[in-house]
Amino acid sequence: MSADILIVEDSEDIRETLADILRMDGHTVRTAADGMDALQQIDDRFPQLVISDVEMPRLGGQAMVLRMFTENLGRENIPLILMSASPTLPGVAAALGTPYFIQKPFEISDLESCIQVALTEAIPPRPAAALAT
Amino acid sequence: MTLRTIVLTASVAIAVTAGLACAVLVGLGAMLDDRIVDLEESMASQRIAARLDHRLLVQQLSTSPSARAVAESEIRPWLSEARLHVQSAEEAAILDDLEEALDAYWSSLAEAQGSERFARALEDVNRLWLVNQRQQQAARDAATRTQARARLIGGFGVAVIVLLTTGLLAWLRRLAFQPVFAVLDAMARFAAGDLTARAPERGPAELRVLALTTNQLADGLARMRRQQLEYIAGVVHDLRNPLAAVQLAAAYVSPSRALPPERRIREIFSMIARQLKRMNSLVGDVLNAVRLDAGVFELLPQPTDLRELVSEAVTLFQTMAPTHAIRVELPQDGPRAWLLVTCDPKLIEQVLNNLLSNAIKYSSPGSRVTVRLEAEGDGAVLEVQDEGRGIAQEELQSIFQPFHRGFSAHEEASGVGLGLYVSRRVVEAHGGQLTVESRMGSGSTFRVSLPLEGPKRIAREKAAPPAPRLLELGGA
Repeated sequence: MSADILIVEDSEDIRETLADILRMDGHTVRTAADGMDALQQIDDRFPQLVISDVEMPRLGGQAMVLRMFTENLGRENIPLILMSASPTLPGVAAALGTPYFIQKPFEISDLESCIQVALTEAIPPRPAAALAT
Repeated sequence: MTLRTIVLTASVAIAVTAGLACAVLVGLGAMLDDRIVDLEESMASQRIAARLDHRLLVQQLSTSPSARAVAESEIRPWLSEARLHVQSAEEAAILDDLEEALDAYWSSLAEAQGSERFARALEDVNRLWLVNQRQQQAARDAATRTQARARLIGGFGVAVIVLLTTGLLAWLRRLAFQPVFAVLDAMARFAAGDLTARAPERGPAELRVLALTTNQLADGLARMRRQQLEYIAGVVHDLRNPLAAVQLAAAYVSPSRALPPERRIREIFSMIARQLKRMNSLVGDVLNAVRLDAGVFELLPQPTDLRELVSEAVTLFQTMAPTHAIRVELPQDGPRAWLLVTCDPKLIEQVLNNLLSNAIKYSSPGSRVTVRLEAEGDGAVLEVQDEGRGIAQEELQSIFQPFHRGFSAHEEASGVGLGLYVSRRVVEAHGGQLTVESRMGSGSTFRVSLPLEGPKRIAREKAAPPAPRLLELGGA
């Protein structure tokens, strides 16, 4: 299943290589270097899936998801795969309420499976911090 | 209360009790002595009374006047002797009566008168015997009472001393030994791996200080251990990003995919080289940090022209980061000598590269980065100034901690992982200082000051490695 995917990652090397591979897999891929850039691109056109790093300059992954959830109607229903080297990644994913996350470094096949599951189930993130307010 | 005060007080109490008991016993001993003297006096007087009695009877039986004269000459000294043993007014009065009676007896010539006076003298002798008998009894009774009193006081003194000593021992056990054992127990549990084990801070002041110091040591060791784990986690985290990039690159040219165009393959390989360089530099930083911490870091100082060093570094970064305007301010004139700073050029170059790379990472493309070299006092000052977003006041010191992720929580900031920490330690090892000034929104200036004569502290740093000593204590 090919899809419209947005990759949010501040390391250019990782971002562009991953984008290339996913394009070769048949997906339509856009890229953003941080959360601010990503929100802009989401507003231009809603992707079917966002793959995002957690720690980024300007606007990190968590803050970006909170803003997707609270600001504009519709953005909150886009499924999200978190991708990070942080050892606390499972906790961050739980806090953001997304079942999809992958620890760096990863096998590309694992990410590809994760993408397929996320596209099929399409469970959107439900950040606890936003739901509490 | 302090242990010292309590032990001192108890010891003084025991000593005073013992002293009092001794004084009382000595007094009672003296009293007993007096009673014995009384007893001896009474017995001596009694003996004299008995001799008088006997002698008078013998004289009464003989009728010759010469016998009376002999008896008188014998008896008179006995009376003088008896005077020496007089113990009471009554006894003295009896002796007076007796002497009077004897005088009357010896001067009487008539038979009838004589036997009457003899009877009176004999009665006085008898009274003398009896009064001494009473005095003897009284002295004996007094001695018995004194003895009983001595026993009582001695027993009481011993009981008080035993009680005080037992009390002191019990107190020592409860308030001194138990806290000491509690500290030992906590240390043993800590050594066995329970990092939460702490000694209860109770008991006398000295032992509370002991427990407090032990706990502070334990806190320090636990903190060091936590820092080590965070440190390792930081290293692992910072290695994972370049690893992820390299792993993706490998996937790019996997057998299951069509080979990308040659241009792209070249790009991928240069990306791999870049990421490997990052990993290598991180591993180098880790090694340097470990060596610095262990105090086995070796500097290779040599006279270095900082202007060349700065120019080379800036040229390199101008090529690598064309997005930023890197400007150099070098002193053009003046004596050249000051520019030759004794330092390890490779390490100072690393420091400069680290500062430049941070300046570029944390400021927007198009902004200006200024590298400034100046003479100041007996040293050289190297400044790297950016126009980035700046560092919050509360972060200014913590950015020099290993793997600090403060102001941006920036994944790519591997330079911040160990870079500033190692840089500061390297500059300090040269006898210089690395400081930072920053204003939110208008940028940061990192300032390296180096003494011209170079490092002095290497030998001392080598001689006294601080960290391993604490670790040895923890492992013991």
